[in-house]
Amino acid sequence: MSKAMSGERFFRVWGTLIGFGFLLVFFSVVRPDAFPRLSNLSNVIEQAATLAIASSGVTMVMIAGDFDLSVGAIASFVGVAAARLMVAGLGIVPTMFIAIAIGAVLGAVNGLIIAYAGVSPFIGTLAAMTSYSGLSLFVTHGTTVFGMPEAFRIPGQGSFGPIPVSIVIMIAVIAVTLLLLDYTPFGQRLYAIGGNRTAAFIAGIHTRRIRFLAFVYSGSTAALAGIVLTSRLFSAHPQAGAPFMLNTAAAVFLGMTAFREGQGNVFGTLLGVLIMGVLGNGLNIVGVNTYIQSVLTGAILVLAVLLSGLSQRRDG
Amino acid sequence: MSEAILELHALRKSYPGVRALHDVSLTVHPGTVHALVGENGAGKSTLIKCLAGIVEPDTMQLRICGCETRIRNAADSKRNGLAFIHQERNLIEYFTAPENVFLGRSLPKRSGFIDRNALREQARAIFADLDVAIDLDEPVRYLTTGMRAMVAIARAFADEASVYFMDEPANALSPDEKRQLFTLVRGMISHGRSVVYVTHNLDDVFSLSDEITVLREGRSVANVRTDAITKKHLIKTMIGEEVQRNTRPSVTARRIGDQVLAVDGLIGSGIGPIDFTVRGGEILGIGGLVGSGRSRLLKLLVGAAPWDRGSMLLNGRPVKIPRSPAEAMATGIVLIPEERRAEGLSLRQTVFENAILSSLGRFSRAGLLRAAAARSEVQVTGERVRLKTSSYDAMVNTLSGGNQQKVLFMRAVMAQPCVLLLDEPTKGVDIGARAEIYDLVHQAADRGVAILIVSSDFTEMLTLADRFIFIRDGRRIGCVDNSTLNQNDYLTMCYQGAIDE
Repeated sequence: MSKAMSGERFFRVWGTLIGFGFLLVFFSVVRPDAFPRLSNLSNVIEQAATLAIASSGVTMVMIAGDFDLSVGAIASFVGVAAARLMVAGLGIVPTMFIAIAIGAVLGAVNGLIIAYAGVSPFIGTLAAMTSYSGLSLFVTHGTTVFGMPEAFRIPGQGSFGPIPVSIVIMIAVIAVTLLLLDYTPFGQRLYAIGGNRTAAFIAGIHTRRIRFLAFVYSGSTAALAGIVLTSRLFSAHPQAGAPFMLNTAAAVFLGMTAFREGQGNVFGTLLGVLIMGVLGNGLNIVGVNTYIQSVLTGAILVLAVLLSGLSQRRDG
Repeated sequence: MSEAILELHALRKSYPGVRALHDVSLTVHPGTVHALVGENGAGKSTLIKCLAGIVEPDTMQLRICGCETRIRNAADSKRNGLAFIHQERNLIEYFTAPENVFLGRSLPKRSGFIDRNALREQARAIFADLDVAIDLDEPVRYLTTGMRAMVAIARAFADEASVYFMDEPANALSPDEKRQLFTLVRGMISHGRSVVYVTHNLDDVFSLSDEITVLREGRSVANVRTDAITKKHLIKTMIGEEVQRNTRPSVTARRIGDQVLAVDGLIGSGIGPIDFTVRGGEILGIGGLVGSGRSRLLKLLVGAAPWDRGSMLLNGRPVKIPRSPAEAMATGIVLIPEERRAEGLSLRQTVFENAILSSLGRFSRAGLLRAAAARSEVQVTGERVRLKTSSYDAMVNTLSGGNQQKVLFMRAVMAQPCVLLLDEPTKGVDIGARAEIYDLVHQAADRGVAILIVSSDFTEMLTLADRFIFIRDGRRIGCVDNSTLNQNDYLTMCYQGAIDE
């Protein structure tokens, strides 16, 4: 009996990772000439970097039991705002600081609306997303911004020796998120709020303040993702970050099925990002239609959630 | 009196190791209100569950309108004309009263569409029958608690059952709302329906009921006409003649210190005015019946419910009224809540994570968690409360109820409180662990913590508390020292706030 249980538990904790291994093997067998090459795999990771950065903040928000649909809009807005500032002559370094501050402020607005005013996170961030997207279009008049200084290529395209700068930034963000989540009282409080908000409140935790801070962090990482994305594309489009909205949530949900049963965690999120990256890349190489790729991504998300037992929270 | 509508005999029900109902009879006549009274654990809710078809009795002889019948499930119960009005009233908040009354029933239609005028008219007729004036056009969420109760009852009334079971329907109702409820109940019986009314409030029993059945320790010990018994006699019947001795150890080595907490003129969230003081090392029992506001009082004291008025002295100094448990905790007031799973624990987290939740501030340096220090203190505290767990990294939901409660004790103790509030500290805890928890309460008191305790188990209250205040309808009705109190006196205080009447 207990052996069977632990087997089931093993699958719940490690199943998603095994599934990821399966994907790697599958694509390697089908296209041994293209998929498993170092250049291709590093390409996958590089492309996944911005998603991983934005998803780190979303992980934090979702651990507390909230939701953030606005990260894509924040990334887009920060991208166009930073591009306009640089085109207007502001230096790269001050622009970066201002850009991240903008992300933090927009995240704080989310936090005020949701944690303090009590609007449901789904509606709150949906509304915020709509407004922030409007701001981006207003700032750019709906056009793409070009003409940033050449040095701005570094965050998205540069590299330290063999390692792309974007990957270094990703690793740094993951490390900071891991530190905050697993090694600080803040992280403990966040998990407790997500586990049982009433209990956390009664236990003396400032639940609103902690949820607010998670949104601020999410806004900041979205801003950073927006900068790296803008640098990689070397142009700022008011809708460039839009795919983050669903992909961050999908990555965190996939991550909740791994390592830490039913709770968001950084490594799970990274795994979720990589699964989506490998899936996109592999299906491309195999020659599956792009639109069908979206269909498959959705199906895999449902499958992972069903198999991990996350779906067992039912009523009656 | 006319032929009985419901006759129940020889109802017995045992659970493994416990006999919940030994031999219960209940006879209800048409067009009457029948009060069902008894202490907590006397078997009232088991009796109702058996009739509702939720619990299968060991034996039960049941006649409805003189015909032998059986109840094996909820559908049987409904077919026999029994209806149960639950405290959690299942209303759709955004629907109007008529829409709620007709929920799940065929709606009046005109050429295939809902006929709203007919719906409103039929609902109006039902409420008029019951002599209740209610707003038919507002969504029920804008109605008062009392009015919503009326809607739930009207819905049951429209089901055309013959016997209605109401479990503490007047809880949380204002005096005005209660009067309306009584009007409604009288309206129902004037239509020949019967009501079985379960309550702890003896005043309500005397103002509303025609007959009374008293349950005690799983037996029906009396069935009387309400006008043939006095309140004093009824209380005696409920408690039983044999008066148990006060089981509290007569000599306590504990030294009671200076006044730690003084609350003056507390009003808020339907409670008050309440004054009390408690000293260091003293265990103050908050006596009263279920629904008297004891738990809400504790919630107020930690700022989990808002105050309207009142002031607080802590260790002789005035302190700000807490607006959240976090603020209360900062001043040293800590609550262990009643609902262990809903309000206490984060079930998907480990024992360690749950235990340190209220003392994270102490274990942080430069924003980082001092995990080693936290672990060693959890270890020491865990040994002190004799926690049985495979590991401190085990998920807390794998522990037994008693050990889960100990985890909450660990959390509270590690928060280093000067006032500790305990709400039903041994609810759902087995007997062995119960004794250990009593020990923990005494340990805390020995260290000079002032303790407030709420429990529905009067033996527990008499065992633990040094002194009592009694609460009814949110107001303080009495105060007494434990040394002179026996079980009989305690319950009399709960019911009427004074021992002599």
